[in-house]
Amino acid sequence: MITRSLWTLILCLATGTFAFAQGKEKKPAPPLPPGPLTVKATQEAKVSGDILCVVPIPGTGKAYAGGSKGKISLLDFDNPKSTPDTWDAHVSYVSGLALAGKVLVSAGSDHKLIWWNTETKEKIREIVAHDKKWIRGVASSPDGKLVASVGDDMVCRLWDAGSGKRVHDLVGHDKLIPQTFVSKLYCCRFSADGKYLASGDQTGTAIVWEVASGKQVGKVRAPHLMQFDGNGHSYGGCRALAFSPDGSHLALVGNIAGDTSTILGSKALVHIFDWKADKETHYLPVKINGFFESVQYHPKEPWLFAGCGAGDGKKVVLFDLDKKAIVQEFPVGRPILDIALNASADALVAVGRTKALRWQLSK
Amino acid sequence: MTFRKKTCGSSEHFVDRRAFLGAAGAFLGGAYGLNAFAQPALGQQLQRDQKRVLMIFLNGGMSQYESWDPKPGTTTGGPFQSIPTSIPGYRISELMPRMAACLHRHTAVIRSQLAVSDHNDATIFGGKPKTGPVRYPSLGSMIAKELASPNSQVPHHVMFTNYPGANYFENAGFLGATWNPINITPNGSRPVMPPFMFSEPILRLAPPANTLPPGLSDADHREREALRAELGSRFGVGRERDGVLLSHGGAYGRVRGLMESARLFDIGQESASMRARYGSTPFGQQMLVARRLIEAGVPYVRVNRGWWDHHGQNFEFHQEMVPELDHVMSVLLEDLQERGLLRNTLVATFSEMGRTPSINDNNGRDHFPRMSVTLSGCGVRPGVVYGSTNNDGTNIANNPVSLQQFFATVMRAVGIDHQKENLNTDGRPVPLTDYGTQPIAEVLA
Repeated sequence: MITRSLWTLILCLATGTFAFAQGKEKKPAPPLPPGPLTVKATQEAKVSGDILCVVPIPGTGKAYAGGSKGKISLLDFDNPKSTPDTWDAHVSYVSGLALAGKVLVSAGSDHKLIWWNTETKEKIREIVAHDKKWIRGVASSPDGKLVASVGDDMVCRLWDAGSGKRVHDLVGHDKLIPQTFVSKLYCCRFSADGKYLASGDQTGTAIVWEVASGKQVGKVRAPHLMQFDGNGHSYGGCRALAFSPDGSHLALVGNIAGDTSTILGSKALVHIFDWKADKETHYLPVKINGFFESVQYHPKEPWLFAGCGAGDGKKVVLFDLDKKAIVQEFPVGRPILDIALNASADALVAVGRTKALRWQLSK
Repeated sequence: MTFRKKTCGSSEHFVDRRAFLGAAGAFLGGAYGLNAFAQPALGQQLQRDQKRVLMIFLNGGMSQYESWDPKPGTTTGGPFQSIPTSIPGYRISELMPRMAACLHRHTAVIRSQLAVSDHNDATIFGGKPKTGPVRYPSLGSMIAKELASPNSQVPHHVMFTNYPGANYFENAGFLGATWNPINITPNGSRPVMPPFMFSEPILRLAPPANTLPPGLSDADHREREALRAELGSRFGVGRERDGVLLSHGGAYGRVRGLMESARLFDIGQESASMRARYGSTPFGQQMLVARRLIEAGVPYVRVNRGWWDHHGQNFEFHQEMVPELDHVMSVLLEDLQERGLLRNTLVATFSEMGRTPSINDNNGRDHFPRMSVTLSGCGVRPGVVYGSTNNDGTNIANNPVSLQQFFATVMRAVGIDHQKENLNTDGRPVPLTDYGTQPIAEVLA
């Protein structure tokens, strides 16, 4: 007797649809139409190991990059065959870089914040900045006078970029997630006018601070960015954030969890808020198994770049926020851990696992 | 130490003076069972004589790199640093500061444990096949049988789980269902395999239905049990060797004991400060109940903590879960020590596997058939670090430990002859561990 499933198998084999019927292979997505940006050139810099963070040097084709080997490299995209100038910085991962004039500040999983003279590559100062906890990120103010850092002591700290003196301790993120495990403070970013600073944590909460006073002036929560499941996992978090060019909106990125240990079935997520009104304006889940680990607004257009850092995304995507849709993709082929767009928006850098790419762009 | 030869191939006939006295003492403890600690002298006797095992099973496979065998500064090491421990020259992950401080007091670490490369119960069954004519028992069932007090009123084998993933249930196999555990799982029955999502874990600290249903009085229940026992004993005439029948009758016989042990599972009996000490996570609360069971004489308690299978985001998850293990394990050891129980209680950490040296594209580590395990307390030489891995942890450098060796070491630590034979269902002798297996002498006190 031929069963129903056997008939299905025969039919699938006959029509060549067996793999699809088994659910083991996804139907490829149709290609996107040409995007709004033209890629004039794609440049790849030589790197060693995984690159976790990048900061371009204004007006050049170069960028500082921090990696999993504890080194900082000066990448030269205009000379892709050149070996980058590299120096030992931390004894563990370099988790963040910020450029403040001639001073480069690096953050590490070794609990240290280090100031570097970029001309001599010499260490200016070294601070155990977050109560011997991981430092997750660092950012510089637009005028280069301040540096902010975030760590797993759940404090966002403001530093004088020149003297290294502590300006404010910004305390407001919960130290524990609701299920009583320790939380994590992943990211921070200044607004374009330098008046505000935002920090984002594991629960999907972002706090906006007034830089001058150090006071909390806003708070938004993107609940989908964290899930706690019956397997005892909390998952997700606000992995990166960015202010809109006018400072009115705040984009938080991360992931909507699927299977929490394998990332299968998860969606990368962009969640945007009018932070003063505490109102959601955009909820943009993307069906790729992975996280958005980095985000950046286009300075002039209603566009937003997001880099996919784990899973099978392996590309930078460009959202048109008016259309609430992805309008262009920049494939990298490796997980992307940081992106940076230069001030004139004609060069986009993406770094990640054993890869560093720069696209020269025009409208 | 060598063990005496058996007279007929079955250890069941072998009784020496120590075993006789031990059994008699255990009988007294078991008979008094739950009231033992209301009578200080008997409680102290229990504390002196009765050995127990508390197994912490880290389901899914905890990373040895982010715990007992860190390799910072190597390509495989990941972002965490190592910290010195109270054992000179030995460093563990920075995620375990509490255990680092107390490691020398009670604990031996084995860094060269062979494991399996997939999620299954092979390790808890000592690598024995699950198919074929012999249904081998799991570690917990074997130990429960050896350490249980005759006629004990307390359960002899309990397993806790705080999540619905793969729990690798213990099974007594040919030893008979008497030695199966009471499984305390989130949904009260065998859960499905992951992926399986709940918005919140469903905490369970006690067996379901261990109290009388409404409408059934205690007297009614006792009368029903007496009737069942009478009918059962008549049916059992001429069937005294029927293992299934014995297990069936024994299970009913333990119902009263289980019901009366309800207070053992009641975490409300503990002070607020003690509950706070173990922490408010499900793992912490279950461990506190496990300690109560150990204290009352339950010979084998297993507490599962999962799900460590971090193919993605390995470091984020370990940053959350390893400190919890560090906290709960160190508090447990302190508490057992303070109560005088650690002398007779072996605490083990074990799993099905470790994690790969390589870090994949999802920032995760995959399955690796090598892992680190620990033994603390009863019968263990503290401060020993046995075996090692090479510089980047890609392989064992020396002293690989088989699953059978680990079992033998656990058994010998609590005074069990690891070569003792039980008869399987067709009457053939089967040793607790394979013939010729040697426990790790360096780890034993």
